[in-house]
Amino acid sequence: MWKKSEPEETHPQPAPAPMPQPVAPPRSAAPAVKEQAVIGSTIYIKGDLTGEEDLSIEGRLEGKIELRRHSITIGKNGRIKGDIYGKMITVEGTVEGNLYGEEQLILRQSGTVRGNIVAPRVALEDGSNFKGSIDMSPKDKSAAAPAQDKPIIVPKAT
Amino acid sequence: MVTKPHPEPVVHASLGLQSLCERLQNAAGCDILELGPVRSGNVQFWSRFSPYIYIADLRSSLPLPVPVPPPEEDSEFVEPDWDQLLALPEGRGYNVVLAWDLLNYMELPAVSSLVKYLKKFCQPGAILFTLIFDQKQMPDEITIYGIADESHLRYEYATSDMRACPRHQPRALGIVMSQFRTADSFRLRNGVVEYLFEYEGTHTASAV
Repeated sequence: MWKKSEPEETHPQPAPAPMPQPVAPPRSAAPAVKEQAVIGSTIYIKGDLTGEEDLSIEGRLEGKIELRRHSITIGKNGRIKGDIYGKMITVEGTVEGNLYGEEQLILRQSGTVRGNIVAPRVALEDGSNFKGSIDMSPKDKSAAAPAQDKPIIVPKAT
Repeated sequence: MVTKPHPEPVVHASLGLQSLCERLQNAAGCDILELGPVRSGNVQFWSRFSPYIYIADLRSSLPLPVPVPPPEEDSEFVEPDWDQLLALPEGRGYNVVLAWDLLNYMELPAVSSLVKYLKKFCQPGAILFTLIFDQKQMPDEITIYGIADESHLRYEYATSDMRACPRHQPRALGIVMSQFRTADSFRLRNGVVEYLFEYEGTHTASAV
């Protein structure tokens, strides 16, 4: 009945020395190291965020996030009040504000967004909570003035 | 005839959706007002038209059926606060309104009130797509419609309970939907009539 153990690539014992990440891409001379900043679940920030690396947020933030060339992930515990500009935006937590994805926006099943989405590709998982607009029209058209002027009024939480 | 909601999603043909898609192929833009909830597959489906979609999800904010005083009472019908319920951004005109089966859960005065409000946000020629039940009973709650393909809808029933169906008749609908003409209608085998109402008004909401 017992299945004979197959040769394993991983070992339960702690590694004796720092091991290189097996999935890490080969490093080149160019500065291609993918940095990701993480804002932990106990952190509360009031103010705008900008930078040049990917960002994952599990905490609370009131303010604008602007990382137009990078990925932004709002984790399950993340709560954002403000607009978000990113290359790829993934929302698993809660956002009250407009989302501008240069390439793509993903709203996970656990995510809630009260605001408008502007991105050429949008994926909203069934069960996610969203009320607002989705603008997938070509950038030159949408860049003029997305309909975010009027705040979203939420009559009843769902 | 599907009179009893099935607990599992059921796929039905949708000639109305097919007709709508054909119209959109030639449309200059695609500004969609979705009165139902967000559906991943639907957003994906519409993405081929590079759309602007506003998801109003009235199901979550409107008490349904919309209360209307009985005819024998003198009390007036109190119009829902559509401004608050829909929260539509100003200055945007839609050329598609997806009402799905919502109108079945409203008496005609409420339908009239909603349509009157929506006209302010419709471009001339806008299409309102709706499914009207023509059977004695209908699902107790609004059904979610997933787009399976250009000519099929997936009915995702929220409940297996049933309620009496108002059976809005074409003529009555035509009256309450002033300035909308019936551009297409399709009677399906499942007891649903799909309507494409076209807005004939000249009011132009300034599309962005």
